[in-house]
Amino acid sequence: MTVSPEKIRQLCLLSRLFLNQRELREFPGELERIIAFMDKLPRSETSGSEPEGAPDGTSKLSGDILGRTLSSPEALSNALTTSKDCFSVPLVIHRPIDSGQSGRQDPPSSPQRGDKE
Amino acid sequence: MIPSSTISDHLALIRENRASIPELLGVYMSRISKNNCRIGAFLNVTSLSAEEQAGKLQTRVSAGDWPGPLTGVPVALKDNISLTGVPLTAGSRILESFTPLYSATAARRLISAGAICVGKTNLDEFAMGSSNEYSAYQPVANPYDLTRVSGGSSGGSAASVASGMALASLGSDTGGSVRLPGAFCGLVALKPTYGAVSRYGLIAFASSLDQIGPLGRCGRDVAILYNTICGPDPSDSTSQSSPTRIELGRLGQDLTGQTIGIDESAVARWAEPDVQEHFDKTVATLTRLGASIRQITLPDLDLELSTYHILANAEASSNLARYDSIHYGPGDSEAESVFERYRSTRGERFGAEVKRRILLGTYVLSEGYYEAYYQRAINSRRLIRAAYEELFSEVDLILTPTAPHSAFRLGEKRDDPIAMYESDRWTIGANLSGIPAISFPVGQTPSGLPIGCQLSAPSGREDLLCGWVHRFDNGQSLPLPTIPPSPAGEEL
Repeated sequence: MTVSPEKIRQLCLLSRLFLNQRELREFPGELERIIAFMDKLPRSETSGSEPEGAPDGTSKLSGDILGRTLSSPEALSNALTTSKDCFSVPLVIHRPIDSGQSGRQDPPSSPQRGDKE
Repeated sequence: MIPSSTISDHLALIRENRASIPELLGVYMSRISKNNCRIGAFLNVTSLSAEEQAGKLQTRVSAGDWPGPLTGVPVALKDNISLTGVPLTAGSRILESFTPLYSATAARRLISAGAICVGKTNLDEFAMGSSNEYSAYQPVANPYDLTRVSGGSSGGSAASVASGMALASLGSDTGGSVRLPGAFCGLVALKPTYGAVSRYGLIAFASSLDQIGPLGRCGRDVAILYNTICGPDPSDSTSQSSPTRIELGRLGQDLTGQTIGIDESAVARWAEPDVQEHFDKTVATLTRLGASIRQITLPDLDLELSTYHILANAEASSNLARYDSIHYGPGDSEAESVFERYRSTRGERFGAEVKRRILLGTYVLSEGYYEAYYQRAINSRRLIRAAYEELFSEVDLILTPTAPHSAFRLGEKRDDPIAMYESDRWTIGANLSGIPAISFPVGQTPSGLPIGCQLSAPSGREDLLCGWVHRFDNGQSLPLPTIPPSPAGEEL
């Protein structure tokens, strides 16, 4: 399994991550080794079994119970930016910087402002 | 004044009026001032609130009241366990300005039982690591040799107790993060049955594997701590309705005739010579204490490692998606787009190991790879659990080394993630199958580094684990190591 820079770029976009120059240089090889390390599950041994996401008997939903909720000042107390009684969110959709990539802006893995070695 | 080394002795000093709670707390605070700059165990020392609480507890004790089973016991909490109003970092720069609005259930139960929180302890960022070198702030040094790692990810919780800066602590264990530092620092460390202790208020890494667990200086201390924090919690739907509590009065009972399984070929294959030697001695001691030893074959440890890393990374990539600096966390408040904001937070404030794990988790969950990795891993998990159930139909407990080696040198494995992951070879099985496991000190290398062994038991049998460890240590702990003074004479 080869992890190409393009694959890293795609994973960064999916996971909203940005890599610095050093990480961009080192991650493909590192991830390749780790994926090879993880890739030891033989299909024949696992195909017949039922999946298990959590230890048996612990996956259950709790009932809907009325309780105290956070007040607006409490909920906003750790927020970086707020506006009146709301969280303030930077612009999510705006005109693409690169007209050739409609809907995409600032490809996440390309190092730009603030990236450090 | 030399405070006692165990919780029972500490409580006796207070009950018998031989020392006051503020006096005892003062000894621990003084050690923190002297030693924390060398060890790096604490990220935040809560001295003011601790002193205030000590005064209040002493007033109650002097009036004839006894607040609880941990009255006046100084405890340290891993800095991924929330405490109202006390800043929490999870060892990450992305949470460096975060203050929780509520306390974790386990922390609240400790404090209700009379414990005093002396501070929040260092950890690998978001509990992702086995050496505590992936903390965004500083690594934690091993109190037995400051050039070596404390183990991770609960390294600060272990080092704080091992060096006498706290009498007990809480950590979290996703793949061995309580037991590995416990072994490296000469402590008893318990990973409870999944669901026995509420995860409410614990920063999530991999929710189906995470458990809060206690670290202490002997089996009895850990049993007391476990009894205090276990129990149902309506705030955590995965908490068990009636987890087993340990009858402290029966800890010393004769356990003759119980069967302990060992896999000698796996130990011979993976353990370093010092560990192998102490494992053999432990088998001999347990035999002398009445155990019947039986050879078993453990599930494939390589298969466990693969399964664990696929599941843990997949869950981590999902859990860590919330750190976008909208609800909390620092970042560029002038960012013009949400991507610019992410760049200043997720790009600059996550460390390399966290980024690696998020990318791997995203990879195994992405289209085209989900079936090949995640689906097979959750199938494999069921097979692993079934294999342990089968083993426990033959034996009462399983004994292994806790780690293949003793504490390694700082920097030795830092840039080799796979070598680091292999430190967890013996511990991840308990997380995958949900069973309890305990690490306990069984000796020291010729250079004085502690070595730990691990006992695992069927779900809900923490009483067996603490019972055997109590029989093994008889309420005794390793002596406190001597911490060399700082060359510059600096103190906290």
